[in-house]
Amino acid sequence: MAKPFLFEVGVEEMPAGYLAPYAEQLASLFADEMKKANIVVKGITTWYTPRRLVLHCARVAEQQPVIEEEVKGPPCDVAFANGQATRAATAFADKTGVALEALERRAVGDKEYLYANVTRGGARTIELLPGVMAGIVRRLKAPKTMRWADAPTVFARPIRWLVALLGKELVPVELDGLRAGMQTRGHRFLATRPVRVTSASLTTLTKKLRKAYVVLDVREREQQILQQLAAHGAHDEKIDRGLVRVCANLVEWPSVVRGSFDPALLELPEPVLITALKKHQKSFCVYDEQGALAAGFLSVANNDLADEPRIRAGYERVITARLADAKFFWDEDRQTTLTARVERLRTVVFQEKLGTYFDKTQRVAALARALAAMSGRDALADAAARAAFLSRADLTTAMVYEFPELQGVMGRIYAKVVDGEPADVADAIEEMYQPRGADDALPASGVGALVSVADKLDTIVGCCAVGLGPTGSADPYALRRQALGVLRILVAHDLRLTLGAAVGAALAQYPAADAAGVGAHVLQVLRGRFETVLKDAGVRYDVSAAVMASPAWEAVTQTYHKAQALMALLPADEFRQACTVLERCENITRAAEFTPGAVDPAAFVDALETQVWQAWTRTCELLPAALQRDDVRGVVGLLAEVAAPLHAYFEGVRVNVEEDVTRTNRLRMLRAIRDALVAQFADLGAVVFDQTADAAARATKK
Amino acid sequence: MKRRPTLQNIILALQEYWGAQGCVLALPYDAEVGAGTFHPYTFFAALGPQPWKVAFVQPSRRPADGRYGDNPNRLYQHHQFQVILKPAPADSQDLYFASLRAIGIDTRHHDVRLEEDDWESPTLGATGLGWQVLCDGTEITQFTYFQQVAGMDLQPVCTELTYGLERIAAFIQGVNHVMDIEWVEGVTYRMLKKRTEYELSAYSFHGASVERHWDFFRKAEEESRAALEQKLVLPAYEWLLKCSHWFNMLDARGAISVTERTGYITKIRAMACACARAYVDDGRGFGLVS
Repeated sequence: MAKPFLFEVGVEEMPAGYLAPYAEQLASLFADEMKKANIVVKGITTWYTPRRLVLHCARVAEQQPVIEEEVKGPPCDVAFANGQATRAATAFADKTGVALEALERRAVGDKEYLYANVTRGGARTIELLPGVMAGIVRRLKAPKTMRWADAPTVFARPIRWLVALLGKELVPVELDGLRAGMQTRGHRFLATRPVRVTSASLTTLTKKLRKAYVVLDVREREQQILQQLAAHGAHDEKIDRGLVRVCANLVEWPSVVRGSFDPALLELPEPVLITALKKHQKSFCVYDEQGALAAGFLSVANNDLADEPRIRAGYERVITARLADAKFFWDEDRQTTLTARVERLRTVVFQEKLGTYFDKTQRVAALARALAAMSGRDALADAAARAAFLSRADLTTAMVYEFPELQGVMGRIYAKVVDGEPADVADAIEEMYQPRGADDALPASGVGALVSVADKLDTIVGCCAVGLGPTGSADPYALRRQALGVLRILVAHDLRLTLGAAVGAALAQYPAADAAGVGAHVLQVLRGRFETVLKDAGVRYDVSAAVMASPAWEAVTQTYHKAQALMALLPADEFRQACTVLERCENITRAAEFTPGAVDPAAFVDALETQVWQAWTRTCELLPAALQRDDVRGVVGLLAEVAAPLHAYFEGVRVNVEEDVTRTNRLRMLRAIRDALVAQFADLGAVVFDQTADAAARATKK
Repeated sequence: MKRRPTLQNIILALQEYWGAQGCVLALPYDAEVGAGTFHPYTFFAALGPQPWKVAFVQPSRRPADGRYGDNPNRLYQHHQFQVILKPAPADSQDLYFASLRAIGIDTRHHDVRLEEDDWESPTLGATGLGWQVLCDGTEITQFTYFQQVAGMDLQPVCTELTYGLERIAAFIQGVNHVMDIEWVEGVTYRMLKKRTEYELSAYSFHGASVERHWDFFRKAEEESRAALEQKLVLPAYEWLLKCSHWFNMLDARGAISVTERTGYITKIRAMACACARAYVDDGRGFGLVS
């Protein structure tokens, strides 16, 4: 027989972000514990509001299955001595929980052994649940927990009531003296009396809670908010879904209030209005028919709005005050140009060991210029340097002090309206912060791309120079993320430069740094991230290894396209042959001991040798031009012309002959070809062609 | 609340309510403090096992928040009504909401909400978890379950309620500017406080001598140490409060860089922790009971 189970933890208002993770843990811990206890369950669901976490299980077996088994014990001649039970016998009895006299003797072969008939399980679920549920509640984890009474349990906020029912029966869960009952609570202010729960029915609970002004399902609360926002004229595409989710987790009975503020406040830039409403008041903006911001807002109250005008008036007053504050900052800030503010950055510390933001902007401006020159974007150099110079000035504005998330945005706005900077400079100030994460958009403009790369590279190099670089899993300044941003921008904006040169230019701004050591560390960080970029672009690991083996990888934009082109060439026979023979060059020369040196064509013995060398010499003449054009297909075509004679050579000539001069000369030639290609292009020998055969072989082994 | 909701009557109603709950109705501490938490009846009384219930108004100075009395919400000095309940009663929230009804806030017909707020006072080494209480979007109270004071885990945990009196009065009276609050019938906040706000703002932003304030700070720090060496905890603590206030003055004056800031806060916290440690070790409480 199975019964439904209902469990509710009643809490004081929990942080909105904790609810879903708590509910997930509750469900998975319950499933685990029931499995461990060998109790069959079906249909676990969890539900939550700011004041409650609810677990419902549609079917819970009422009893553990009974398991009978025979356990073999010690041989009887060990278990008994002179008719007396030995320690071996009593220990076996203790272990199995079967009385000494109830143990059986049974012959196995020609020996007698003690046997115990053990019965396990059969416990009633209702007797197990109290311990299990109390244990689960104590194991739920949250980022920050607290104590609230003289008791061992910690939780995100105080637990004030428990409900636990199996079918219609109360499950006597107890947590630090708090006993589960059959009574839950409705809305803190709207419900007039406690709500009695007499069975573990989810439908009944949901219905009863609704009567007590509590919507149990967060999805339903979100839906209600969305519908009410729409009813108040909110534009669907402009509704901040993240904010809807937060609001739905702050209320039990969502009701949207629409209010208005003084239209004069619309003078504030749109990002300021949105941020002020969202951050301080968790409120939504209202737009007019043309999609422009209107002088109104939408707030989600935890109330039935029986006295809507009163609540609206309160919201209007506080929102008007907040926006008036923002207006004060806006007026104040515009009294001073960003250009004049740059000087104030001398007192704003960027990082203790890396000086002030003034120092940083100076470095970034110089670096942006250098990067522009390296990547053939000289036309953008002035704008990039100017944007870098102004980039942090908004840190000294009252608006950014109040709303740090508007850093960059205010820089763009003030640059435009106060300093009268051209759009490319102003936009780059905001774009400098992009991408903020792996999924964030990249700078759209060329100037923004240069400044963003320069700023990030300066941070990475500077931090590595003072020992704050990433090591192992520690990366306190999130430099790996910034490195990824640098690489994504370089590729997306087709900025063709070599990382070594770019890092060198960044390092030149830090005269005291150990340039060689720091440069190597930074390149290692960038290298790791670039491998991720290639992987994310669908480049196979062996193709990635092939291109990364060449020092030419540092020209990352070209390397990115090279890897893509090689991926496209994988099915081509001539490419396969070229890679195969190059792999043989590598294998033979790696295994052999010989003195490296120049190839001596006069020492060739076999005509096949001469043919390879002549083909290679021709290729060497044409290769630089193809490499210069980043013409990957052309390079591979040239290699095919060497590959054919090389193939014939491997078929017809023994490399490792006795005669030392010939042998050394042959090894030197193979090495020369392989090394020249690795140095300038890629280690094509690393490309794997029998992958499927490999995989199949591995699969059959299993 | 039947009476006219003047600031004065709101204070009286809160005192009456919490007095009836068994709180000692204490008086403000007569030193410059940034918040009610600095009152010895909070800072020291929260430590140790003795039960304690207290309520008091605490004028609180925040030099950097001064706005010459012009800003509708920000003040150099505002007033907190603070309640400490130790140990934290299981019905702390209900007691609090009943206090709102006692001052005339109808919780049924307002949007009263608790939003997560992890409170922290780095200078006192104090932390707590709780909420900011919002009424129709206005923050009216900080509701905290104190977890630590002076870096020590509290045993038992206590409830700290900090009502923002100006916010509450403006809300109940429906006025948009703090200076328009009615203190008592016929007397506005402006009539009592505008000059103080104006002059203290001007002083903290421009008038105060940075050099002398550094001097005050160092001397107070020295005196605090000297007092503590003589096992005189409260005098040591009072000099520490001076340090904290002068630090805030220097901060408002723009004389402390971001890097220095952390260093000074750590210094003040270390002094506060030393005082708290001495108070706990001595174990005689405010009554000097051995």
